[in-house]
Amino acid sequence: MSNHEPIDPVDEDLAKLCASERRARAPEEALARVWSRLGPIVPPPHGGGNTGTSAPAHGWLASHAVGVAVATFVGGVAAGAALHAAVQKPPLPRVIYIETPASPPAPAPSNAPVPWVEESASSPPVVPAPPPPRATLPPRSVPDSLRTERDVLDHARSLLTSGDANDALTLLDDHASHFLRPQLGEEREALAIQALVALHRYDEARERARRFHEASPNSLFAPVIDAAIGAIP
Amino acid sequence: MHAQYVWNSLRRLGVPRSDLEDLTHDVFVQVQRHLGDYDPERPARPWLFGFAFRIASQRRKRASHRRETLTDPSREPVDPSTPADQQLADDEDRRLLMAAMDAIAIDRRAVFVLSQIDEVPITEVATSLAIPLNTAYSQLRLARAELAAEVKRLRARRGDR
Repeated sequence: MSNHEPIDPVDEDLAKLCASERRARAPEEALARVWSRLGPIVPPPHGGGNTGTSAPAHGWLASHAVGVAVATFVGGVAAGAALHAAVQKPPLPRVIYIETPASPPAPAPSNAPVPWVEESASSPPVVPAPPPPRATLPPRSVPDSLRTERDVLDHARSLLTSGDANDALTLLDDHASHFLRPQLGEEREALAIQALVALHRYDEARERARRFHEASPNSLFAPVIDAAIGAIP
Repeated sequence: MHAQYVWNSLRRLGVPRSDLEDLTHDVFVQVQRHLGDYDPERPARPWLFGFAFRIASQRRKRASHRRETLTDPSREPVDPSTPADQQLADDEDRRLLMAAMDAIAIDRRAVFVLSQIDEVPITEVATSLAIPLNTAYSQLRLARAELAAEVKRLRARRGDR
């Protein structure tokens, strides 16, 4: 017998406490001390002087490919907002993220885990008009933004791995413009660079990779990006 | 970015403030040693959480007094974009949540943190903590029930509604 059925929604009070906890930050000065102690292994995160970003400076981070290739699952129940992908690209299915109203008029059967609706572009090659209630973007720091970000990136990843680099890139750029302080920004950039390479937009990929390394020299995604750039013929 | 995550994970697992720097360091040292085990198809954070959990568990076993020092969540900085009144409310909420979580076993606490705070799908929770999926589900159910009851109890003791 299996216990794999979805569990009940979390107690409302507990959910609120968790949302508060998600906003906690670690003290930067303490993290800086941790980084300095890790110096022999990992350089400090923001250059900070004489570290540089040469290959050895990446240390162990560069020694292993931390991949973002395939999402093995797409999880989570979308509460609150979601993203759109009203991409004006003719081919292939379009994905529209639908924002859930703050107080939904009628509770939907709530086992649907994914906040998007896939629209099959089955008929004519003409781009269909956008639906009247235009898909909207979530407010910027909603408590569930991490989940929303994750959903977006998971979907972009699945588009990318199924060969839809164009749509994946549009979705990722959309993410970039709507999450100004993203929690998964590094992962997004890694995917975007992979998409650019897949689209043979090599110069843009290199430039984006260069900016990424400048901004996040210690990222776990650096090896993924290096691998993508290294695959350019 | 990942250091933030590891720090917060350790804190949520009950590591006192005074040990957080050391243990965050220890997590990354362990990560470095086990990079070869990382499955690049998996998200990085739950994998990192697995290290944080093991290190927090070891620390707890070593500690002679289980609750000698509790985390003081009010001392933790918050997102600067959060309005001041929200920060105060968050401080209270975090203090309450941490106190409630101190009342439950660390393995259950880990499942709760990963699933409910980090919003990691339960399948990945099970993988990251190296436990069967059914166990993850049952731990989560128990953790939620225990925490809800503990929060209620603490609120009553504080005179909240």
